[in-house]
Amino acid sequence: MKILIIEDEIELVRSIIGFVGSDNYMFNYAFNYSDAVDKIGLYEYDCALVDLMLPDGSGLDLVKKLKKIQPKCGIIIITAKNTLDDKLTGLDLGADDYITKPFHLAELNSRIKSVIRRRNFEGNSEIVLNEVFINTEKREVKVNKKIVELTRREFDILLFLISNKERVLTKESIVEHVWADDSNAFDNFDFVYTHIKNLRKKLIEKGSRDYINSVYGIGYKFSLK
Amino acid sequence: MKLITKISRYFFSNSILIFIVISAVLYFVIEYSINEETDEQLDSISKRTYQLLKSGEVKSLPPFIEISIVEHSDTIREFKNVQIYVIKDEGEEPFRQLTSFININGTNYKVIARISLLEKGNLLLSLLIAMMASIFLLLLILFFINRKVSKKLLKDFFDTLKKLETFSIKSGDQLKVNKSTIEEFEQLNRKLLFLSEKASSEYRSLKEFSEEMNHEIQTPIAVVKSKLELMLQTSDLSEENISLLNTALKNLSKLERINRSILLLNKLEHKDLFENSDINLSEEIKNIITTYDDFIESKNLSVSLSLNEDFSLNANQSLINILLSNLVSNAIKHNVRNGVIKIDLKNNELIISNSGQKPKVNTEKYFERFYKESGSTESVGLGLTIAKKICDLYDMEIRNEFSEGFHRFILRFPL
Repeated sequence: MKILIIEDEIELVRSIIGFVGSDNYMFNYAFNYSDAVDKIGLYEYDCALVDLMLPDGSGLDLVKKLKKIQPKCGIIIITAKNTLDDKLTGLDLGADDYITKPFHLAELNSRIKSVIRRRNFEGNSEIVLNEVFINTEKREVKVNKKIVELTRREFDILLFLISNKERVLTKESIVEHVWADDSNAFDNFDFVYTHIKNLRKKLIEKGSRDYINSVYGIGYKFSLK
Repeated sequence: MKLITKISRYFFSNSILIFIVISAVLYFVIEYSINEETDEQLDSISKRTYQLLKSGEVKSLPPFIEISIVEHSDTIREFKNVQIYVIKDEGEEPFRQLTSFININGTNYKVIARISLLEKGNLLLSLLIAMMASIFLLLLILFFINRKVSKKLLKDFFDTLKKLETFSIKSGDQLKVNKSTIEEFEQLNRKLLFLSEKASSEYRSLKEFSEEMNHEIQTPIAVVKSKLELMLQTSDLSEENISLLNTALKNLSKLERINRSILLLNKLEHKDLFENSDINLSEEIKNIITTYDDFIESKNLSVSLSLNEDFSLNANQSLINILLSNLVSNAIKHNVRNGVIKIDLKNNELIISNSGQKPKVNTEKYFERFYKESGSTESVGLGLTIAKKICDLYDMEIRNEFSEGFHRFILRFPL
């Protein structure tokens, strides 16, 4: 898998690469518009992260170029501007997703994975982790081929945890992903615990190992180790 | 006090003063000249009397001429004001008299000539009345002229005032005032134009600065956030370090929320940035309630909805979503355990009420920036400010009431 990151803030690029991990992915990055144009022409990518505000040009033009030259590449727009117009224009131009700075790395990671899943496997929307089998298209979870009945929220939490497996996810990032963007204004996230407790119980009941660990008071981690 | 009243007051008080002085001066001048005249007349009457005495044709004519024979002649001629009974029991009358002596053929005569001063008094009195009447008339006329003219003269001034009332620095429109033919008002207009332009440009640059700052701050926040989250992934963190990271992340997310809210508030100044569509409000409300279901459950709140399914509003979908979300989340956050939320959507009116504590301050304060009622550390105190701004944008009325243990947010939609 090859990912192109077009972003002028080098430290953010480093964080993204650090979090998403270079084990399964190859990264290329461009800090400005002209560099990005070169990189687009040179290699093929599975996913591109495009910052709309670049020092020497607009990311929207890059989205257009990418769509034309590499129609298979999934595009996620990154922007500091929370303007709806840019979002709409970006999505109209063919971007697959849109994320606003500052974002949770876990959120970006899960979106990258979702875009790659949708784009590259053409219908193959299955994730297999040992005895756990997830069909993201049908929103179906099986453990040892037995269907696990999950609520909408439980499924979303599970998919988010699995997309970020082996990483610590804060309760806040889970709430923002599963519930609503603005829900971090609440000061009580106790219900996340309830949902995760139920999710674990349902998975274990069907014979899955207990992969979901809680990390002190801060959050949760899906770990195969 | 009105300018015209003030001017009139000065004018009247000074006029009266001047009138008194003029009257006094006039009185003395006229009295003096009348006295002179009287004395001259007395003199000529006396002289005429002497002539008649010489020819022996004259007799006393009291009280006007009295002739008596005296032993000793005197050279003194004496003018004098006296009070004399003309007719008995009718009171005294004022006279001016000239006493003189004359020797005719060895006989000494004392001649007293008198002129009544009654007429002089009458003259002065009528003079005074005439003056008073004319000054009164003058003032009256001036008063009406002033009143009439002042409206005309001050018209430009009031025009400018009206323009100032409707002028808003936020709108970005220039202040427009009509030209005045009166120099003072024209000067005022010029200064106002100058001032408003200066204020507008300073407001604009301040606003631009704040908007730029808001944008610029996003990237460093994003970097810090990503670094803290990366740090969280390191395997050898102690529980204490994780707790420190947690606190740092929580506060960073608060900073992020404040910044985002201010960005939105700034954006809400420009109505034309938002595209409108017809929004079914009951759908929106139900969606929001579904989004927040876990928050509602974790406080064990019961929600009762009474929604007019057909009511729709032409507005920007995202903004209406923000408005309703803010109000609903507010009703959850400031609720009590096992409390109640009631949402009532009637024609042109939406009431979101929740059980809660009695407000500590005037509920109008809720809409102020950064106002926080409870010790809740997570809320930044901008949600209701944003709600109010969105309402303003669409001419909706929003107010808060508290009664019988219930907070009520009442939204009235324009017809």
